[in-house]
Parts: sequence; C-alpha cells; structure tokens
Amino acid sequence: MKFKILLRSLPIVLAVVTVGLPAQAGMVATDKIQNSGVTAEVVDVSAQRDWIQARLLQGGIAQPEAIARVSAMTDVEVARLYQRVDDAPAGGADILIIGLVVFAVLEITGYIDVIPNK
Amino acid sequence: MNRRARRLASALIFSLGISACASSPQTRLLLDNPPDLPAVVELSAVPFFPQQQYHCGPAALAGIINYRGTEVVPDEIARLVYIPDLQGSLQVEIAAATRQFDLLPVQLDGQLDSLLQELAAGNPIFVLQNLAIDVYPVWHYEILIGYDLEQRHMILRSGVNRRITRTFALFEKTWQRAGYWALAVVDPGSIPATASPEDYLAAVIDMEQVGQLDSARRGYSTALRRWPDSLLAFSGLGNTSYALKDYAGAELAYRGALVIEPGKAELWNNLAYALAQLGRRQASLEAIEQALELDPDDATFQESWRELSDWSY
Repeated sequence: MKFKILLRSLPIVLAVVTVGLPAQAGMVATDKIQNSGVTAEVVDVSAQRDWIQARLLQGGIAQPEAIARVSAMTDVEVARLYQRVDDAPAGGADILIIGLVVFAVLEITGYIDVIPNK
Repeated sequence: MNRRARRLASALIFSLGISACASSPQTRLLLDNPPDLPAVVELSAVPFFPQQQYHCGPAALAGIINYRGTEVVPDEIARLVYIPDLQGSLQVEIAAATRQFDLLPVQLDGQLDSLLQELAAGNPIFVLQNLAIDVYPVWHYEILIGYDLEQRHMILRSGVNRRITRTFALFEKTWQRAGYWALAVVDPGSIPATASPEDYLAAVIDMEQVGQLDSARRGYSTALRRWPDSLLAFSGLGNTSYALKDYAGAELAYRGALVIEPGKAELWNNLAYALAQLGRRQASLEAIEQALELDPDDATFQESWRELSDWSY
C-alpha cells in the first residue's frame, strides 16, 4: 500500500500545528505532480532525518527542539543537509584569530570587510 | 579543535589561496547602466536587534519577522536555528524558521540589481556574506535595508551595528563568496519584485510540505493572480484546498489545472477524490477512469479506482 499524501509521518512534538490531513491513499502530492514523468531516486528520507536529528543533538540542541527542527525541514532540505552539516556555512560571524598582518592587509585593501564602516 | 581553528590551520599551512575574484562585474554593469530606480532607498522602519555572540542569524531574522508584523525576539529564533557547536545557523534552518512564522522564504536570483529592485519595492533582504576569504570564511547574516546609487553603497543592519554601509563592489565580493545567497521574506499574499514563478512556487511547495496549509493555499492563490497559467499553482491550490476540506475549492482548482493540461492523469486522479468527497459518485468514477485511460499501468490510479469504487456515500 503506497501512501502518496502530502506529508510523511510527523512526531508529536511539533512547533507547527497540522490539522486534519486526510490520509487518502491514492492522491498525488503537489511536488509529485510537478515531477511526474521523472523517476524519483529512492531515498530513505527518514534515515536522513534521523541522521540530522542525531547531529543536532550532538551539536548541543535539546531533544524536543532537535525533533521539531528536523520536522520543520522539507525532504529536499533534509537531503541537502544530510552528511553535509559540517561543510555548510553557519552564519555566526565570530572574528577569531586571523594572522594580524594578513588581516590588516586584507581589510585595508578592501578585500574583506570584517570591520564595517558606519 | 573547533572547526574555526582547524580552518585557520589549513589557511596558514596552504598559504593564502586568494581567489582570482578581485573584480566586481555586476557592480561595473550596474554603474555603467544605472537602473531606473530611486537614487536612494533606506527601509529605516526595519527594526534592529543587536546580535549576541554568534547569533547574527537570529538577530537578522528577528528584524525581518518583526518588520513583517510578528513580534519576536532573537532568542526565540535562536531556538529554531542556532547550533552551539557550529557557533552559527544553517541556511536551511533559517528558511525553515521563517515558514514557522507564516512567511515565505523566497530565494532571489543572485543579481545585484535585483536586490536594488527589491529594496525599492519595500522588501528588506536577508543575506549571507562571507566577510573574509574562501579558505577561511567568516560567515555572517545581515539584513539589507537600502542602497545609495550616488554613494555607490549598500546599507545594512549587521551584527551589533544598527547601520553600516558597504560599497557595491565589496558587497558583491562578500556576497559572491557566499554563493549569492539572498532571501526575500514575504507574506504569502505578496510576491517579491524579482521572484521567478519557479522560485516563488518552490517556497510555497515547501510551505505545503511541512504542513502549513493555510499559508500554502494563500501562496498558491497569490501565484495564480500573477501567473494565471501556472499548472503548478492550480495543482497546489487543489491539494491544499482538499487537505483543508474545501472540496469545492479543490474541484475548481483541479479543473483549472486540467484546462491547461488535460493530459495530466494525476490531476484527474485527485479530482476524483474531491468529487467523491462532494458526494458525486458518477463524476468521481469518470474522473478516475480518465486517469486510468491516460496511464493504465499506474499502480496509484488503480488503487484509487478500487478505493473510489468502494467509497461510502
């Protein structure tokens, strides 16, 4: 029995309320309508979600938040992040030790902009 | 060793691999062909939240979400996006967070002049910047709130600074090193000035996928007002209406889609369900039979036919 509904199963702890979704076995979800004719790569999305959840836990996030945050991601976002969390940009802008001379040269020549103009 | 120290070590060992990107081609083009826009735009109503350490993502996003009408403080956003051991926030989680406030995170096209157009249209832009170099990046999220074509600079809310400027040329470099990533964050009743239908609808589909059906339905309706021939917008409107138990609305939307693409079996399939919900057995079976005629071997449609034949009216 194949379920082609809008959502896969969600954990109970969710920041978002999802109401009354019909578990209609036969309906085709919007993204599948968009991609009809394209053979979807078989991907174990729930395994990918589990991986990301574990990575978030390891990264210092409490379990309820980790579950909720993974649930808030789409399948495509999950696939994008899967195994790449440590290579992805993580905006935080902490200025640490760059060689002082290097830093000064780059900043003065305007190649970087770690010290902003006001 | 934390990842920043590791990166520094690599940078020193391999010496400075300063990339060949010393030029700012988009800026040159822009200044050679100034767009037909106001010379100066500054969205000074965008609230400012000074960032705490590493929390530039939450601070910037809080500014934009407040601007769009929901009161929120950076700490609330941090719970949705901040990762302690990375000392930062991931772009995917930034997008996921905006959705939770019923706002669409719409990817922009990576063009400098599009940013100016968005600003002129009143849309502050959430941007990622790499303020340092490729081998030792310093990732930073900021809100782009304005520009000045005469001074040739962008105006931003950044970190602990309510207002900074950065020349177009330098902004282009720091943005290029961040993959030209920028989001327009809008209510589902609006479309960013420069958004393509693909990028707009991608954000709406994401909204639908994570279960925010009201916002998604509004987004599909908004898309249809602008792009009345969009098969995807009609399909999405049908599916979200169905999920919200608006079966009459779903029928209308599926039929709208079928006018554009009568050969799309999936739409006949979904229409059949809407008709069943509306108590129209004959029409429902005709619709699923149409799907099967178009694609007789499809297992989903065969299952649907079985389910719809046994439907209790």
